[in-house]
Amino acid sequence: MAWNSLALLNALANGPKLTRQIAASLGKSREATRLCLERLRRKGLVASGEGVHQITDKGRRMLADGREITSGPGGGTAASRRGPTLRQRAWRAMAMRDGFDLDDLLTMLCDGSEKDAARNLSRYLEALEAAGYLLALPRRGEDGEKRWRLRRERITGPAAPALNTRTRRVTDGNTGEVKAI
Amino acid sequence: MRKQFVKTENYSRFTAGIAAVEQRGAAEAGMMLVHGAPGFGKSHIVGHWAAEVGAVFLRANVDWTPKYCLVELAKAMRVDPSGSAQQLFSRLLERVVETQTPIVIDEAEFTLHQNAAALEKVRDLSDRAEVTVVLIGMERIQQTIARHRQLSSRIAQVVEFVPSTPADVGQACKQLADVAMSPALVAEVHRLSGGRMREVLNIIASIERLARLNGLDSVDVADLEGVPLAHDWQSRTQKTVRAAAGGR
Repeated sequence: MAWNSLALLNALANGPKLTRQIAASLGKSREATRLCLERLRRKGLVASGEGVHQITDKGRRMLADGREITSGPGGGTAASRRGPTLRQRAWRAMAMRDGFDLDDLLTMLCDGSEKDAARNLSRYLEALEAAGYLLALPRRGEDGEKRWRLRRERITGPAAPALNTRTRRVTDGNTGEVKAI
Repeated sequence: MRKQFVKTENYSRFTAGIAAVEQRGAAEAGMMLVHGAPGFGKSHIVGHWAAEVGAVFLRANVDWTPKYCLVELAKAMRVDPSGSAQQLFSRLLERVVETQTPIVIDEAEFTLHQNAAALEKVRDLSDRAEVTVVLIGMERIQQTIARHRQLSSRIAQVVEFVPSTPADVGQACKQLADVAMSPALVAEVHRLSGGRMREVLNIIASIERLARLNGLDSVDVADLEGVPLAHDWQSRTQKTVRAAAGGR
C-alpha cells in the first residue's frame, strides 16, 4: 500500500477533501480509496469526520520524511470514533425545526450508509407521537406526507427517548419516565 | 428518489472551516460566519453538522433583544431562564463552559439590531466559555458585521456558500435518482437548477416521474428536449431542456 498511501497523503496536503474528491484526483475507485483511508486513519496519519478527511501532523511529518508506510500493528495508538445513532441525531434535528416530515429528517441526516433508515425513523416517529412527544400537524407535506412538531415542553434533555419495539415502551433517559404505547 | 444527505463542495468547505475553528488555541477567536444567497444549503448543511455534534441550534427573530436571545438559549440548554439578564448570563456561562456545546444562530442578521447588542452577548459567551459559535446569514451579513470591530475580530473563519458545482449535481443525481442519467442530462440539471440544491432535487423528481411515465430505465437530454423542468421566478418563464450535441 506504500505508494498509494503516500499519494493519498499528498492529495490531502493542501486541505481537507471528500472521499470522492480524493478518488477522482488519484484516479482510484472510491472503495479502494476508502480502504486506504481506513488504514491511514488507524495509523493516525489521517483524521476523518462525516466523510471529510484531513492529514494529521503525524501524517505531514511522514510525508515530509518521505518514509514508506508499512502495514503492521500500530501499538494501540489509533483513535476510534463512533458517532451518535440515527435516532439520537433525529431527536436533535427535531428540536431544531418547527415542523418536519420523515423526508426532511432523511435528507438532513442520512448518507445511505444507514440500514433501512426510512423504516427505522418512521417507527420511531410514530412511537414518539404515541408517547406524547410529537404533535401531528394538520397540514401535510407537498406529497401528502404526515408532518410533526416536537412539543417544546417535551424536549426533556439531550438523550433521545429510547423505543423498545418488542415491549412497546418508550424510555426517557433524561427523566427516567417509561411510557407504554 | 432516495432521501439522503449529499456531501457537496460547500459541505466540504464548511467542515474544513469548523475543523480550523475547533483546533484553535484557547485565546483565539471562536466564531465562524457562514453566508450566501438563499437556496445554497446553508441551514441544511449546518443543521446536519449540528445534529451530528449535538450543537444548540437557534433561529434569531426580528425582535431579538439581548435578554430574548439569552432566554432562548437558556431554554435550548435547559437552564432556568428566570431572573435578571445578568443572573441568566452567569447560569448560561456555567452550563456552556461545562458542556462545551457549540452554538449555531441561523438568520443571524436579526442579532445585529441595536448596535448588534444581542450578538455582543453571544460573542461574550463564546469568548469566556471558549466555545464555537456558528452564525448563518445572507450575502451582506459580512459587510454589516465588519462595521463592528469587536465582533469581526472574533470571527476566525468565513465560509461563503456558492452555487453547487457540476460535480455536486452529478453526485446528487448518482446518489439520489432511481433512474440513470446521461452526463449531458446531468449538465442540463446543473444549468436549469442554477446550482441551487433544492431545485436540483425538484428536477430529479420530475425526471424520475417522466421516466416512469415513458417506461425508461435511463434518460438522456434527447428524451426530454423541450420539456419544462424548472421555473425562472425573476423572468416568470419556464426553463426547458435544451438539445445537446452529445445527445442520443
